[in-house]
This record gives sequence, structure tokens and C-alpha cells, in this order.
Amino acid sequence: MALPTSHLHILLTLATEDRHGYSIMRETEEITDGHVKLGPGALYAALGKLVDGGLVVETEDRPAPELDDARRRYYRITDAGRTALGLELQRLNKVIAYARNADLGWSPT
Amino acid sequence: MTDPSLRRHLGWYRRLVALTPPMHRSRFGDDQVTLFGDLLESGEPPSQLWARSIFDLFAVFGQYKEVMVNHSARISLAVVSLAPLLVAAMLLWLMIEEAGDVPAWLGLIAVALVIQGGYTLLWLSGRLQRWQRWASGLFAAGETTALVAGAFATFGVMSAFEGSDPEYAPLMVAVVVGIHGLVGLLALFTSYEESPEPA
Repeated sequence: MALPTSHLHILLTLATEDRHGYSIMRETEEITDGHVKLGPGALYAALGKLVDGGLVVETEDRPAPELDDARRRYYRITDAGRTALGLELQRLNKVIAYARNADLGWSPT
Repeated sequence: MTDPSLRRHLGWYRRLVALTPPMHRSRFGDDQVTLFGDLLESGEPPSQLWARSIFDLFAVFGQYKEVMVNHSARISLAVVSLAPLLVAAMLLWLMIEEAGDVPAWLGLIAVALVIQGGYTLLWLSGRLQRWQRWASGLFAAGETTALVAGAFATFGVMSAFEGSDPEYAPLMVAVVVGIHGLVGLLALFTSYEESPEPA
């Protein structure tokens, strides 16, 4: 089953490092050139589902004290989350490959 | 946060978050408010921030649907079943009190409500999933009509009270119709699915 867009982007941003909500939101905007903007409600609703599904966990590990913000909670992708992300990226790759080979009348970049 | 205008925005957002389902609020409510505050302080125009935040709150409010439909299906079914049951009880009471003198229009409304209540139960049970789009469209139309008609009838009946004896039976029907419509629409709009999964 395809991952919802918000789940895909959250997993993708967490795949590189542990992050808090604000960082996930900003990184998502960065990698999508601002096309995907998660609001606070959607972000935490999605995080809740990912945590419940075992794809993400809240981590007690904190960054260096000078970088830490005590108000924030950090999240980490799990092995199951990496597997789900990999499967979703494979699925998207197939879609792109199909689009590239199909006679669409225009050329996807 | 020192800017009083930004503090006011944050206060309103906090109030909105306070309305979200407890199961979400207790886990993420504080984080959500903190994040909204950070975004305000980052210089994002409040109007833009509200535009992206007010709609995504539906993602959170959608959890009420989980409570209503998935977690406590029996409660939600009981709530929406109240309308036809109340009308049936009222009709029975009227028939006993005023034998043979029950107006026909009241009977018609009662039949309509029983149909509406039965349809709501079917929709909530997920048995209409096969006809998702049509079933939910019909449900939305019926509940919107019920809400509007119930609200107008309530005000109409109440305004007719002036200078005459109160007629509680029509008022009760109007209120039941309106509440049924409101509950139905809330269930529909807090749901992501066209029709809920079978409970």
C-alpha cells in the first residue's frame, strides 16, 4: 500500500538523522522546494500514526547541550520505517520509470 | 514571545488545540503549540500560517471519527439512533394521550426520520462502502437538509410560542431533526473515508 505523502516525507527526513517536529517541517519544505508544507496539526497527526505503526520512535538521545532545545521531542526512524521507506521509494521509481518509457506525448523531466 | 500580536495568535491556536481529541492532545498538544509559536517567530506571516494550520487541524479532528466510528461504534450508533427512537416514543405517547387525533404531517416527519436514522446506521456500519461516493453524497445531502430544516423549524416553532400555549411536540421534532443532521455531518466531515470501515 502506498504511503501517504506526509508519512513519506517524514520518514525521508528522519532517514538522515534524528529530528524534532520543526526540523522535519523545515527539511520537508527544503527537499520539495516548498511544494509540500506540513502544518503543525498534520505533522503531529502523521507522527502519531507512524509511532503507533512502529515506523518511528521517540528517542531520549539529545543533541549537544548548546544545540538542544528542552521543549522539543526528537524522533528516530526504526528498521521497519526504513523498510517501508525503501519499498515506497521503489514503488515511486517504478512509476517514474513507467512514465519515462510511456508514450505520454511529452517528456517528464 | 514578546510581540503581543503574535502572542494573541498563539493564544487562539492554543484554544483550538484544546478542542482536539484528548487522545491526540495529551500526546502532541504542547508540541503542536510550541511548533506554531516557533513558526510565528520565524517570521512567517500569521495569515499564511493560519491558512496552512487551520486546515491541517482536520487531520487531528479526524481522530474524533476514530473515537466515534472505530473505537466506540456502539456509542455513535446509539447517538444517531436517538432521533428515530425519540420520535417513535413521542408518537406512541401522542397516540395514547390523544387517540385518533395525531396529525398526519407529524406521522410523515416521523417516517422520514426513521428512514434517515436507518440510513445513518447503515452508513456508519460500513455496509454502504460498495457505493461509497453515492452513499456518502446522499448522506451529506440528507443531513444538511435535516440540519437546515431542523434549525428553521426550531426557530419557527419557538417564535410561534409568543401569545399562545407552547407546543412542545413540534419543537421536539424540530430539535431532534436538527441535532440528527448536526451529528451526522460532524461524523461525515471528521472522517477521511467516504464511508467508514465496518466496525
